[in-house]
Amino acid sequence: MAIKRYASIYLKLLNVNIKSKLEFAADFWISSIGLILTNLTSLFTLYFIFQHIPMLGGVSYYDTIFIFSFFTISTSLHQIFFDNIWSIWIHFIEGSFIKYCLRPIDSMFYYLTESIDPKGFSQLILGIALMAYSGANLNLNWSFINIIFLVVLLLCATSIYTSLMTIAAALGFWITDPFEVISLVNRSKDFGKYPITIFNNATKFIITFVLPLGFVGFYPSTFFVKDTINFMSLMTVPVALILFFAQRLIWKAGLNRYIPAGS
Amino acid sequence: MIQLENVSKSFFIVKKAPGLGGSVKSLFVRNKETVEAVKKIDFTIADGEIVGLLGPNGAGKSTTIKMMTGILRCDHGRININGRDPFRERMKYTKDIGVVFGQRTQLWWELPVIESFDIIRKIYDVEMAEYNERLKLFDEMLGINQIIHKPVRNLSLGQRMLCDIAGAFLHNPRIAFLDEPTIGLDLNIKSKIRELILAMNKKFKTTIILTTHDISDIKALCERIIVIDKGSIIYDGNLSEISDLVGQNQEVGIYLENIENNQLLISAVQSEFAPDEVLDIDVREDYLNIRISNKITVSQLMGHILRNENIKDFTISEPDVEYVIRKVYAGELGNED
Ligand SMILES: Nc1ncnc2c1ncn2[C@@H]1O[C@H](COP(=O)(O)OP(=O)(O)OP(=O)(O)O)[C@@H](O)[C@H]1O
Ligand SMILES: [Mg+2]
Repeated sequence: MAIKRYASIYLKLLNVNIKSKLEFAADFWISSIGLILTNLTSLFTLYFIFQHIPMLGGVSYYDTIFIFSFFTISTSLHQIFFDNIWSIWIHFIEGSFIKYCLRPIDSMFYYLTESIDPKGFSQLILGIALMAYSGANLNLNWSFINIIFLVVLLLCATSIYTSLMTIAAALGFWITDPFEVISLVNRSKDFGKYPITIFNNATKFIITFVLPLGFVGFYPSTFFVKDTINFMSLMTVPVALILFFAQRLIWKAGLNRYIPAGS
Repeated sequence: MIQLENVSKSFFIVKKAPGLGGSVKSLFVRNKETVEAVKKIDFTIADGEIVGLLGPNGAGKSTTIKMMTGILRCDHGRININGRDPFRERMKYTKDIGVVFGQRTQLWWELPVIESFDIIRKIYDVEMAEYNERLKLFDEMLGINQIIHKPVRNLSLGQRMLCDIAGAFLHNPRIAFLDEPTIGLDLNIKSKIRELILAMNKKFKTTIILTTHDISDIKALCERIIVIDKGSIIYDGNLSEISDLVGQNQEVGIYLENIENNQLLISAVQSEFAPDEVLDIDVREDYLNIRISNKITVSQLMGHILRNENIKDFTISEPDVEYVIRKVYAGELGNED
């Protein structure tokens, strides 16, 4: 019953958001092109590196592109559906977050679904194309079971990144201005985009255990690029679950002690 | 039914010395300053009442509304509204209330207003027939049909407010909390909003709690007012009896034959009566307006004045709400003893 109500609200929001965003066609195309260009820059860098060396941290060219594509898809899904979390700091500073506490729906649901942004679709399509391209060159076997794994791991990766952003945002319930923390998580996400083997041990430790961005791209993609099933790629699922529940708890605790800025 | 018992709320402001040194120091030594925004307030509001919450800037009105709407937890005391604790049972509680904070919208900023309304309908599970009937009523009263197809961000302040008010009443809430619903609006839109509030109260018995700094809102809407000053309730009762606050007063207007002599009359009155008997004297060329407290009667004053041959005519009038409230806001509270 509750799920049906939330689903109906969500579908409505999805529908009207996309409709209203697409009214500004120029806006949509320009930001889409911008997103694609940013991604192409990183891709060219990778391409040039592999012109000079055969392996990056022990990972081949096509493997690296596969990891890159996995990361691009999972973060694009975040960008399309949950990017509103990014601008939450404005509401903490202005005290306008109270708006999300005044209706009988979950405040996080209310906030996250307020804005859905189709411009991330261009990046999503780029990610899918890159995955098809690298997958073909790696001779990946797209069996039914592998596709199921791919979907599950992608959803877990998206959920991990969204949970990390939500936890950063929820700090706003305590510190009023969580901008720096949100922006730190956002800027660090690229650590998940490359083979983790290129980083030093301290960085590896941080992006595995502290700010587990390695699970947004690198670890789950190793499920497909390695011949044997590896432990860390499967860890993506429990990490996603743990962070999901942690994020709910932190948000709830924050709401309970939240004191909106004046006026 | 709304019940507040002994409710208090304080805010802590962390004071830090300027500069980097101050920031570092504030990490270790928390120099807190306490603001007691609401102090031990009590009141009960029955279903179907319209109550105005008044008081000067910073009195604690919005803080009280935030506690009643479940956004803020009170430090002490008890709040019970419709049989629920607004803060602890927020999800269930908010089903039955509508809220407008005049300063900011609660509609979806980027979406056409009608889409916001439809989302609200889904959130509160409003029946389609009832929803359409409401929209029709809102259009008749507020004339919003020309604007509801525009996104909220393209509306003027007044248009946005009409839509926000409509949005707050869409799900037929048992109580509507309206914090400054007429702030910055022209007379036409103000009167539309007042009419809608009155109609909702009459037709659906919706309880209305509103704050405003506009005396005409109060006169048009509220039978009962609660005046808050520095976090405490200083008056709770009928609007018509608010003049008790400054000591039941009346106004006597006096027209003079001769303008030059008005100083004589003023000093005669001032020497006869104490400052808590004659509250003030307003001088306008050939006209004096004298306000007296409940310590003397009009006839006492007139008995003294009429000896003066200079008087052409006089009028007596009842106390003026605006005057009283201005006094309250200026912090010049009368004789409460
Ligand atoms: N988040 C906060 N942190 C610190 N102090 C606050 C906070 N919110 C309100 N206050 C203080 O509490 C007091 C009451 O504020 P409140 O907003 O309730 O006043 P108000 O009666 O609504 O005033 P106005 O008519 O100006 O809207 C003020 O002194 C204000 O500075
Ligand atoms: Mg206020």
